[in-house]
Amino acid sequence: MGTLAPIVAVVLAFLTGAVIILFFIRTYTLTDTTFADLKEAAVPIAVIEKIRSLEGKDYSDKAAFEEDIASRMGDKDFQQYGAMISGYALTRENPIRVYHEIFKAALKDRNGWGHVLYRATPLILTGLAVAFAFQCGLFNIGGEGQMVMGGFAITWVGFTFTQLPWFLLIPLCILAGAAAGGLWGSIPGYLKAKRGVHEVVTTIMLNWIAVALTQYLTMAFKPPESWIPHTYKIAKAAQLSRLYVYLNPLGINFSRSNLVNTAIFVAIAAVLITAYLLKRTKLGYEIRAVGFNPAAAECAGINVAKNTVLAMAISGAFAGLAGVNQVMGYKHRFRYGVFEGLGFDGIGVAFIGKNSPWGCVLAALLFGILDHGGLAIDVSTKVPREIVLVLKATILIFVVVSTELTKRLINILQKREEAAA
Amino acid sequence: MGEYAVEMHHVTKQFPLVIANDDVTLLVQKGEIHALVGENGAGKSTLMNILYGLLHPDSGTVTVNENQVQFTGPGDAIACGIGMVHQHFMLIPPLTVAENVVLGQEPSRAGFIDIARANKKVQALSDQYGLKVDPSAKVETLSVGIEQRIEIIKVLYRGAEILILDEPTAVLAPQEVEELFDILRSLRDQGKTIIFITHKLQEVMEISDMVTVMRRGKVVGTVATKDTSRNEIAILMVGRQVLFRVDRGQASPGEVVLQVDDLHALNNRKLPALRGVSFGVSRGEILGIAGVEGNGQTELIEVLTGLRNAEKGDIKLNGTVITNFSPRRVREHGAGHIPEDRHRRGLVLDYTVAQNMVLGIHYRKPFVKKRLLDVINFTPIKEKADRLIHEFDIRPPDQENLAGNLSGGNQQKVIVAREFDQDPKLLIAAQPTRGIDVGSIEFIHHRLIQARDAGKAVLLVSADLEEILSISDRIAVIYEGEIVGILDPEEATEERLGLMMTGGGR
Repeated sequence: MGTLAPIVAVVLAFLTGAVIILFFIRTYTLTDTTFADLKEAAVPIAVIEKIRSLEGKDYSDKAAFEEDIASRMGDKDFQQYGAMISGYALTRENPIRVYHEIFKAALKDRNGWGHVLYRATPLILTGLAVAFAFQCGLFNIGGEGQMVMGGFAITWVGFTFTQLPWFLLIPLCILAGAAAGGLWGSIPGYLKAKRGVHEVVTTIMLNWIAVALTQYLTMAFKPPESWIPHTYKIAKAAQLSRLYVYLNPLGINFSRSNLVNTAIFVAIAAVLITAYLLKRTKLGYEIRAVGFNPAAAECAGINVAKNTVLAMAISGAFAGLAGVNQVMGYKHRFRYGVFEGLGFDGIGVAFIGKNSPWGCVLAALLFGILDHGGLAIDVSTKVPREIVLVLKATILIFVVVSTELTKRLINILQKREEAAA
Repeated sequence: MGEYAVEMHHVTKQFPLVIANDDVTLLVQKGEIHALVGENGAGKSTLMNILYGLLHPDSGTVTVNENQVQFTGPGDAIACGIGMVHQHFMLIPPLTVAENVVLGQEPSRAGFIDIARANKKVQALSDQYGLKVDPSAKVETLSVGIEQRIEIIKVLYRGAEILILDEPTAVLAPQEVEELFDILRSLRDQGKTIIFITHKLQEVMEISDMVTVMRRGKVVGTVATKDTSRNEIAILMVGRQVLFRVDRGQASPGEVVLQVDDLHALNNRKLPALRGVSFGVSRGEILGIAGVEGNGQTELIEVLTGLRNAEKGDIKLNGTVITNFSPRRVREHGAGHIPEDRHRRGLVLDYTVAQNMVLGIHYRKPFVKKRLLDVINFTPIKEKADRLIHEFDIRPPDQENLAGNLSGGNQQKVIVAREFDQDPKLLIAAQPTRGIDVGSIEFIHHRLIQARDAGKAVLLVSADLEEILSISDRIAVIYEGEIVGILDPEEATEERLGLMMTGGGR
């Protein structure tokens, strides 16, 4: 039943999205068919000819459309035919077609899949960060801050130790990212364990400290000739290859411009490590015991404070690794713009993934599909890509609701059983 | 004799495996303060929840003001003039007193809340009963004592004639208790009926007109306060006679395992809970600690097991001073611990039975293999769980079952199995049989005696005098954070214990 809730939520969100598309996305366009319809509806040819020049022009705003046709045909004709013309010119989008476009763009070929994986990679990591902390009963909202601290550390190592060969520099960069993120995450962990400050408050505050700090550092390490707020470029040895480098020699045709890169393997490794840590090690046993019941854990001699700090540090380390994809795999420089929002999206990913490592992978893929497919609908439909934000948000809301709904459903069923017995 | 405000006749309420109320009859006269006393789990709360409409009795009748009623929820009870002041306050701190009081029944004018009228009404209630509360003060700025008065005003505002107060003094300082009692007397003198739930006998004597004592789901006596004594109530509360003697041989105590000297500790509110506790437990004996709840037992156990720091004093386990050691180090020095609250302290309910079987020893070999990280070694855990499930007859015999799915008795057996299997030198058993079925109680008592005979030192802390009397070899009585005496079972008559437990006969 537990795994059912997110699926139900996704379905409900898509239904809600469909309703929004049907009711709120309206376009007024004059096309050949519109003119033919108007002719049939006995609108005089002279009137139609006056507005012929507007053929093919899209209006999302009814008032603007009516103003334009009124100025062409004159107020008298407009009063007589305006409403009718607006009626015929109104077109709505078919939500099924919109969804089809999204999934087609994302999944129809290797190139689409590549883009989806590229977008899912950082989300897997920031999602894992939230999920891991949650196993210890902690709500880490600080993924954004931990991510940019990690991202900047990666960049700094990448453009500072330029003499190192790739097989030293790449692991060093990855370690630096994990360490910086982990350190940033352990601060709220420490404050929670030793001072009882709630981690939600501190992680949110540290987000903006981290963002402001890295932006300041970006300007400090900005190439003097650059007009863009970004740092120096990392060494060639620190850059990760795009996947075409490996796929094309194998005879698999893959676009050189596709951004998916070897950082995806870092994300997969992180998922495996999380699953292993939580289920198979003493550390995971203790962290989850603290998460489920800190009083019992304490009574059993488990150090609650230590595990709280550790869980936050590991959580932050995962978030810090998001920069491996964004910097080493893509931008090769630090710039907040390539990170912005990924940390916060991680909260949604963990939520939809029910805080399980593999759940995070699935949820990140779903977000990747929506993010990449959303670009396509801007071009191929009249629905703006912001519909993707609406979908993501409604999925989240429905995850909350459907968990509660399933819970209540189970309760009702149990009561009925009891009554029958 | 006046008429009865509340009559509950032959009320029975059964929960899975436990009869919470067994043929209970409670009669409360109009205009009296009626104390309902009993240990935790005696069934007081269940009975009051039935009266307040939160629970439905399996059988029996409830009569309020001579009309038989069948409540489907608290709304019905409130409509009949019954109000409940809960132990945990339900107030919204940023709102004012008056806003909190009228919440849900706001006086309104043209669709807007009429704050002036609310203030006036609350002020009137406050003046009438001497509650001394400022209606426009924000709740977050007020003390606990005042918050409680707001709760009382809340039920009065809703027209309550019968007030149920659930352990109202538990959260109050002594001065505030006195003020509360003045208020209660004033309420009574103006015709309200009050049911006062407590387990503090001194308060019963001071405030109540009648006392009903409950034990293990049954009413064991209703007496007029002026005709009884603290002593008598204490004995009613904790058990009159030993119902079943546990078969056991003579103890043969050896050297001292646990030695406690002049132990001092604070409770959660930073007030002294232990004031110089000293005693010793030897191998091969069971030392029972008897006392009315809330006299420092919880703090004593927590200090002994490393969960709470001692302010002063020494704890020696096998000759090593273990004062203020971490819980893990205390365990490593040979102490096993059956916590008093199995849900809060004893088990991780979301873990399986097998996972709970190694809680606290999970980091030791063979349960972990030392590699880069300590990796869980599942085979020995499974073997241990299977063996203990069999040995302790835990049902259902499924180690993959979540601990939260077990019955109370079986949950307790999981803890007992785990702690016994560590082969501790000292076993601290706190309320080991609270709220579980009779079969499990006997089983656990039997096991404790076996442990004693195997040469372990057993410290038994229990609010159940019957349990203490039936299995202890020596009985220490705790009162207000002090051990007031240590007796042999032969000299521990009910009268003497009752006197000691209530602070007399020192």
